[in-house]
Amino acid sequence: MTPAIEVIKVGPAVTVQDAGWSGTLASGLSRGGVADTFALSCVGALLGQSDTAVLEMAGFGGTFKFVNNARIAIAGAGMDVRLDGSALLNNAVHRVEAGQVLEIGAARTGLYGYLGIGGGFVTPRFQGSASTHRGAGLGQVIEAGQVLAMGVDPKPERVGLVLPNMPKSSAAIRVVATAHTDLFSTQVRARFEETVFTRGAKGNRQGVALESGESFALEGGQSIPSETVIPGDIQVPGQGAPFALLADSQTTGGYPRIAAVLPCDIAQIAQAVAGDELRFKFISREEGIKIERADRKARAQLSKRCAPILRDPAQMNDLLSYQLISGAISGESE
Amino acid sequence: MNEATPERFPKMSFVGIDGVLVRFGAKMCDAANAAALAFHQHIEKIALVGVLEAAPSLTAVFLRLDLDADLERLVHRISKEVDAKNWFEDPLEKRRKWTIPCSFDGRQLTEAAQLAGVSDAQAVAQITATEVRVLTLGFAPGQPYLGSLDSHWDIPRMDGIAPNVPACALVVAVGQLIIFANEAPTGWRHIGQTAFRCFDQSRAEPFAFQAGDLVQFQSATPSEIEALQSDRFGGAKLEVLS
Repeated sequence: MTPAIEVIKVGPAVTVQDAGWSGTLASGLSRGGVADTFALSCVGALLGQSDTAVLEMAGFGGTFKFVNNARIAIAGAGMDVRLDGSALLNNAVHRVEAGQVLEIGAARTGLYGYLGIGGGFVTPRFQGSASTHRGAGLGQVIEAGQVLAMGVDPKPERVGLVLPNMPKSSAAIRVVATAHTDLFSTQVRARFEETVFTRGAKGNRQGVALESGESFALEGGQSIPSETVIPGDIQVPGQGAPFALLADSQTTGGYPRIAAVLPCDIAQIAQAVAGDELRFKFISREEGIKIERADRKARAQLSKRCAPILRDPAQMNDLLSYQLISGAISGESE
Repeated sequence: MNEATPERFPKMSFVGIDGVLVRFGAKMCDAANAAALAFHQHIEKIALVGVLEAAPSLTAVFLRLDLDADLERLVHRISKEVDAKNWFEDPLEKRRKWTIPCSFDGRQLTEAAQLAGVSDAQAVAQITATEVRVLTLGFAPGQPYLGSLDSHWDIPRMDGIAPNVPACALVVAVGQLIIFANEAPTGWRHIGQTAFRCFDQSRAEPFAFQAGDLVQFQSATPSEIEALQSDRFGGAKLEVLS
C-alpha cells in the first residue's frame, strides 16, 4: 500500500466503489458498488487488473495531485480530463509521474465517470467490498485534503492503450418479466413499451424516477406484501410513476414491479441525466439470458480490444469515431 | 388483481433473468412467514451449487442464480426442493434467542396502547411477555421486522409524515415491532428505546440478527439503557438453542 493521490479539490459525490457485495441481501444490504458496471470492466481491462476499487465521480470529478508514480485509467461518463493542463483521453490507460496534477471536470455526456489506478485504491473493506454505501453508513464521500492509497500495480508497463469508444445506445432498454409483471394488464404493459420516459430530476445511486405524465398504477397494488427487490427492478408506487432501482436500492419493497432491466442495460439508466429520454422493450427471459451471457463474455475479453494510442490527443476524436464505426453497433436499434 | 383463480402456495416464479421467487402466501401471516423461513433454512443448509444467495422476505424466498450454471437443471432442482416437504408443517428450527433491554418511554407509547385498547402498563407487560420472531431483515442493513404480536396490536401506521425516530428505537404497527437501525422518519409509532445496534460494521458479527431468530424484550429504565450504550450489543443476551 502506497500513497497515491492527494485530493486537492473534489466534486460533491465522489466515492470509492467496486463490484459491491454478493450474499448480503438476506441481511438487508443490497449489491451496491459502481452504478455503471460496464465502465468498471473497461477500467479493469485497460489497467489489466480485475476486482479493484475505483473512484466513482457523479457529475463532477476533482483535482488530484499524484504523490507517487502511477498508472490511471478513465472510463464512464465523458469528462474533461487534464494532466498538468494537457488533455488526456477517456477510455484509456496513462502513466502519471509523482507531482503531476490531474484535473477532471464536469460530465459532458453521462453522469458517472470513473478513475482507476494501477493496483486499485486501497480503503477499508466491509465483507470483501470497498464500496461506499451511504444508506448503510459504509465508506465515506471523498473530501479535499484526503490522501488515497493504492495497492501494488500488477502491470506497471501497461500504458498508452485505448478502448474503442462505445456508441451511446439510443436503442430501447431491454427488460424482462419480474415479480408482478403478470398482474399488469397486456394494455398497460404495451403502453409501458410505447411510452417515451424521461429521467426525472429525482435520482441517485438508489434509483431514478421515470417521468412520462402517464400512470402505470396497479389496481390493488397496495396489498402486495413486501418482497426482495434488486437493482434493475422497475417499481410502480401508488401514484403510478415508475421508479428504476439502482445499486444502492433497499433490499425489500412493497410496490408492484412491472419489469426488471437486463443487468447489462442498467448502466444506460444509471448514466442518464435529468431530461434524457428512456424507452423500454420487453424480451423473453431466454433471450435475456442469452444476451447477458454474451455481454459477460465480451466484457471478459475487453482487454483484448485495448489498442495502442496511435495519435496525439488533439486528433484522437477522429480516430475514435473511425473505431466506433468498425466497432460494436447493434443493428437492432429501432 | 385477478380474484378468479385462487393462488396455490408455495408458488415459484422467475424474477428477472437470474432470480427465482418462491412465495408462501399472498399476504403476511405467521404461517406463510414460518414456511418461507423454513424453506430458506433448508436452502442455506443444502447449499446448491449455482445458487449465489438466498434471501427471505415476509412471505417468500428469493434465490439469485449463477448465470454460468445450467439454469434449466438448477431451476428443476429448486422446484423439487420446494415440493420435497410441506413447508407449512415443517417446524421452523429454533436456533437462537435474543433478550434485549428496552426502556418503554417512547413518545407514542400511550397512543399506541390506546389504539391496541390497553393501558400503558398492559402494553409493556404484553410486549415483554411475547416471544417474537425476526420475520425478515430489510429497509436498512440488519434491521429486523419482528412479529407477530397478538391481533389487537394490528394497529395502523400513522398517516402523513412522521418526525424521525432515533437509532435503536423500538416502534410498533401492523402487529409487528422494529428496532430501527438508523435515525429515520417512519409511520410506525415510537414506543421504546433500546441500546441495540442491529448493524455495526466494526463488530465481528456486523449484522446481529438472522431471519428466524427469537427476540424477547426486557423492561429497563432510561438510565440503564443509557449505561448500555457502550456495550456492543446494548446489553442484549444471545442464547443458542440448538
